[in-house]
Amino acid sequence: MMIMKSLRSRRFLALAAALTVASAGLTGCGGSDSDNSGSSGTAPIRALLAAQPATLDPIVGARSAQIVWATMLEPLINTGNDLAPTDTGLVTSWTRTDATTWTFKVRPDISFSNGEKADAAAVANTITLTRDSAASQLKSYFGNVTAIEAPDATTVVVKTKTPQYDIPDLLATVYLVPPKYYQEKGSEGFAAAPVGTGPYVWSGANAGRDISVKKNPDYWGTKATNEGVTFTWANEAAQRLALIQSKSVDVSFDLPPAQASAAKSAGVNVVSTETAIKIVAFLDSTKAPFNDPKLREAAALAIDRDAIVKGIFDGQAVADAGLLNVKPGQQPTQSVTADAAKAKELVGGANPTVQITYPAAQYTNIEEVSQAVGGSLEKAGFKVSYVPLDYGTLVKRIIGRQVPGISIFAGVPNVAVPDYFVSGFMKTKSITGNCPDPQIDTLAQQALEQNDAQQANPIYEQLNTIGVVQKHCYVPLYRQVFNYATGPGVSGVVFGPLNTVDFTKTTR
Amino acid sequence: MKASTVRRVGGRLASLFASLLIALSLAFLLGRLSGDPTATILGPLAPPEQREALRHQLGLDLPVLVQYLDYLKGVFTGDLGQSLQFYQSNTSMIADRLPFTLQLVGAGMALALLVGIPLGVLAATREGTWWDRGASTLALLGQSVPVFWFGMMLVVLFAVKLGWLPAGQSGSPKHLILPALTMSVYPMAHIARLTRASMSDALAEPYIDSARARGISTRRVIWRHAFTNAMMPILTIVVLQTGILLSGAVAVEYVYSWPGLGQLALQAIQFRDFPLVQAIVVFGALVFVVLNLLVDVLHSIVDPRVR
Repeated sequence: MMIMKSLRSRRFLALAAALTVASAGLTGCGGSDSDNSGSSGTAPIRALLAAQPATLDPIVGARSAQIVWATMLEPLINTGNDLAPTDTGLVTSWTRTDATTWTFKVRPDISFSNGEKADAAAVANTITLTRDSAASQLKSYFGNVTAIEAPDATTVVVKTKTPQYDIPDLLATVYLVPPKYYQEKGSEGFAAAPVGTGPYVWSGANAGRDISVKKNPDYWGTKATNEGVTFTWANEAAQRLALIQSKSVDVSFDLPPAQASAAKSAGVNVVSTETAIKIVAFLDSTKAPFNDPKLREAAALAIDRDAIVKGIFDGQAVADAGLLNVKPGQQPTQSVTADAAKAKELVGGANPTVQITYPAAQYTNIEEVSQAVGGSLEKAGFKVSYVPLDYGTLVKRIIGRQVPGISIFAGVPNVAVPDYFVSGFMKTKSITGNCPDPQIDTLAQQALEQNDAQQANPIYEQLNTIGVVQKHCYVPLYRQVFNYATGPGVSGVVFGPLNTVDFTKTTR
Repeated sequence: MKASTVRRVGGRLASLFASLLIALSLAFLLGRLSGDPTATILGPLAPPEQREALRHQLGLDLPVLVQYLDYLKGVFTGDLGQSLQFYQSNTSMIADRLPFTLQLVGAGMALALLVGIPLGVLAATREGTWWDRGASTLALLGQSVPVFWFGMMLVVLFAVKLGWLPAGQSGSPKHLILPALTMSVYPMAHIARLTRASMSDALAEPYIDSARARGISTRRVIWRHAFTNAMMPILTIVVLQTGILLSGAVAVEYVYSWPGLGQLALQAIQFRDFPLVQAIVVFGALVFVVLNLLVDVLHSIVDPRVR
């Protein structure tokens, strides 16, 4: 009856007013106020991400969430500024006992934040999980590993089927999980409250809103200078800009070029870092028109990567001349320089048709880049058609060898080893399989059998020359630049090219 | 209860169930058209055998009909599957996000009612005057302005330039003001226009003249006599608009990083997390069916003629 009366009188409006007040009141319940723009040194650092992190389980989780879990968990092997393995992490030394056996020494007396021992058995367990879990993100990296053993508390022995020099590099992207806790909780339970050996420990989360970590007082290494980090997220780039401008957050990650420029114009401190993400045009040499080497060369000469970077990205990308130069700043010894006149001469009057396939909306400005590539090819005399696809469909078609012509997409390495691109894109049995060649397969195996990266590098240079300069199966385009903005007085955010951030020295 | 009433109620329930089934089937089919989720989960470099193993684990290698029947069984037992990116139960994720969307929709709709109804009544009772023209222009503007743009403008003005309110996210009542205001604009305009039209009709009825002739005050005539009779279409639109807002909060939640269902849906779409997309679509369909039922019930309460 009350409802009836409310409906039949001005109480209808009173009900609306009450609803407004109730809604406003409810928002105040059950969570922290993220609008605290105070500058207290003890308050957590407020970091804004581009999306809610997927699962915080490092075994199955997408690497985009690494920025969060890597505050609590640590890689088995640390890397230096040049992305090469160093002895400063959980694993302190490694030796190649024989061609197919690696022995690793684990730092003694380290514990997880729940008290479990972070010893050799834990390291072996994590590598095994990485190799064997069906949904493991890094499973394919460890396909050559045949045995993982922990003969004592500080020794781990890894055996491979064939010689593989880059096992220590691969361990730099494997994050240590506590065996008992992980088994007890399972993937979902672990992700709900991760436990690691890192400088921060899990503090809590408000579903869909934020994730907080706090300083680990018992951390074995140099302790964090701040009290913790609270991660929030905003999908919309303009929101990320507005939140940093309005001082609601201390650091705002992943600003696209337009927002980065706007932030700079507004006086916000923007840091731009070259990443290891490479955008490459793949030419399928097994099908027409690019089964004709002359047309592949024409396409490679027609595409002007410098013009793309200048015209589309306005400096927010770095022209990239090679396929296997995995470290930011590195370029190959030999490359192809655009030559429109020669490209036109090679095409002649044949007017061949080329299909350009790309993942629509997957990468910044990918539509414009594809159009620019197409425009260059048209100038050279190709007839171009465009096939924008969603990412999942594109990958499915690439695997099914259903993408003739050119496909443009990114190589996003989790670790800085050239074999990532060789195994993924160059070998006959690679994912793209667009450049089958027994010489490439032989050299790829030879490179892995070398003693170290230094010995392997000349072979990778040779492979790059074959794929990019001689056979023109790959036209490297550019490396993405990652922009992030920091609020006034915020310093010490250290962003690494492989999507890692060190917050331990961050202050505000 | 009369047999005819039972038949009518039964028929209505059957039609709502059929609508629900169609929505569920469409959600299932759309999920299957959105590409291979294993590519997104494992990345492009995962070997085919790993991809196949994951497809098996997710049940994607089963015949489509079996997948469809499993899916329907899940929906009717409250199990909406597991998210491919978050590795969590979709039902619990929806339950976590729903309160935020309800807050936003509740505040937005309340604001829409508080402004829209008086605005419509004002226009109807002062028909042809500048009040009427002003209110109608405001209502037209409210229905024409893109929500996304309006939200961004509010952020720029009140958060970035003036610094009075948070630019987005949630956590305190202050965080709700701009999203709720943005959310209310369209339904506010709709309600104002409908109220004006409905009140104009009601005010032209002979019983209004009769009430005035009996010396009843203008305020009472307007609110007690005219408004009560003009309420039926307004109520209908309020309930239906609430449904639209519940499932259409995507733009507002996106602009303000509001952690509701819309934001979750967007992220699910971006990741091709089709079990989660399906779950949200199913939830939206259920909400619509329930709200349609509610409209029928309200009609029968407010207007005995439809009982």
